[in-house]
Amino acid sequence: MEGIDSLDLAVSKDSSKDNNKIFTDTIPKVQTRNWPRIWAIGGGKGGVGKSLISANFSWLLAQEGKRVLAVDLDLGGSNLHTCLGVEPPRLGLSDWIHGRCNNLLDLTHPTLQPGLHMISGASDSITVTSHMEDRKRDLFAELTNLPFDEIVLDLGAGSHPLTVDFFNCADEGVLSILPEPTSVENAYRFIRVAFYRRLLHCPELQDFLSVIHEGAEARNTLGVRSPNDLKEIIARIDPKAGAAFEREIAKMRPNIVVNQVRTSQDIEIGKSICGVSRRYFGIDARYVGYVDYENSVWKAVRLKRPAVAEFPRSILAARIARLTKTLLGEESALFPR
Amino acid sequence: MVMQRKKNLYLVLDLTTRCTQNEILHAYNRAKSTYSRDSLAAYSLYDDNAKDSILREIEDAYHILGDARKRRQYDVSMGYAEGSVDDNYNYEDSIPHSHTSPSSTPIKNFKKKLEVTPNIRVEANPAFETEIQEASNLSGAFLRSIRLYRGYTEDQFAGLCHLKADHIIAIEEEKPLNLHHPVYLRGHLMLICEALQIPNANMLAKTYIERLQQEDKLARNKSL
Repeated sequence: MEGIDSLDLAVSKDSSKDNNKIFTDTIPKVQTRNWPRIWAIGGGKGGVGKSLISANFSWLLAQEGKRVLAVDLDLGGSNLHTCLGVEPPRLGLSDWIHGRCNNLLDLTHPTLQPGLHMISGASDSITVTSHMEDRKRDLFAELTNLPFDEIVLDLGAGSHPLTVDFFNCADEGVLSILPEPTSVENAYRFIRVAFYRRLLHCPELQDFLSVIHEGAEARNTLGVRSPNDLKEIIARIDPKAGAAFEREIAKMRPNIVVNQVRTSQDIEIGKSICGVSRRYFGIDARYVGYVDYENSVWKAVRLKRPAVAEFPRSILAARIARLTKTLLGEESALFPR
Repeated sequence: MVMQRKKNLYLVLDLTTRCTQNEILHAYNRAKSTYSRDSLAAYSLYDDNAKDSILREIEDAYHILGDARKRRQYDVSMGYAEGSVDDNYNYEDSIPHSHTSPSSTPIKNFKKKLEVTPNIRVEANPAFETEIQEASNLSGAFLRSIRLYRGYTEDQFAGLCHLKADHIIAIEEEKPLNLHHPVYLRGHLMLICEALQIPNANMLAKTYIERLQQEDKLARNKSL
């Protein structure tokens, strides 16, 4: 594949169908408003504003009168509690992962915003990621049974399959991207891993695992130059599988946020990323908003409070309010309109 | 009619078949910028050869869609619009492939103004257009009405002028103290006039500032 090296898709090529069970389909998806809606905020790179967006978005959702739970899934560097103005909690996800606490509700901490609770990430264990791999299904199943309207997952940096699976399983995925080559590159890598993880977990494509693995390689023998090409190849071999491929990828509609914009060209980059994503991956990404490069961000972090609470009249607060409305479907996306 | 397997040229430019000619122009400029060799948006996914190939597709698509007459023929041939077209019509025949090499078409020299697409559609109003061209003084309310007439939201217009949205609002509400640096008021007004295609920007900016100064003076005298 051009540009990007082959990826660790973390599903063994030799896996049997049983072992390669579909994570996405074993999790009860939110069908009605009796279930919480799950948002995953990712980005593929550290420092792109995932926690900033998670904290402020959660805060605004709670201000709308919703029961909101913000969950810090950045297992290697959790600090969502700091962004939300909560002292380092005594209990966190690591306690649940290691079985020291069996009820996620016992891990929730209130914040200064009525209606908003949070669960802190892991802080004390070097083996927490491998344990989380074993318990991710349980975690999603438990989360969907919690008495909240909205659950916001603040994902960790990078494109670890665990992180990507959380993104794929959420009802809505949000990708925060900076207008910088490193961030754009990592964001595409994140989308690419999410793309192939979806395919590998699709029950109707289990006969094509070897083709998918081969197509994912940078220097493949199939002539696949982009993930979109893979669809054509599979559809030629088996039209039904090609249709399943399309259905699976149609579910992938990441919401793009461009953070730290300084110029009008930076704002436009979000639209271009959506266009490139459609052409290269065949997915319909939505450009839902941008956030300005502003002093209120670092000031709020130093004050250990969300910017929307500390500087409600700032441009940043206005942008995040607009972003929230767009994500909730109350405003139209910037692209496509 | 001979239905051939044809490419959806609208998809090449990320458009729908219902778009306006103006939207086609904006999409074309954005697409060229997206797949230029130094593009950030395509970084790490496409090499230079792939980008050049995509740019050729974009040029071909624009060659048809950017011309209302050719677009109409294409739309009919694809079934996007009603009408009749020659049975032997093939849109590809009208693309001069020799001119589509991206290396021979500089892609950077398009006006930055075109990067922002107005998203409010307003009917053309010749009387208001005359009023704009003949304006002898400027007010915030007048600027706002022209901005809305031109079809820009506050955010879009801010991007077009390279100003912050709250600067635009402050100027339209005639609250220059809300600007981060009121000293740049004249410069901001000139930029706004230029973006809104209002002639005599320098003179009009002067009338705006002088009137606000006058009002400020009166208010201060009153308070004494």
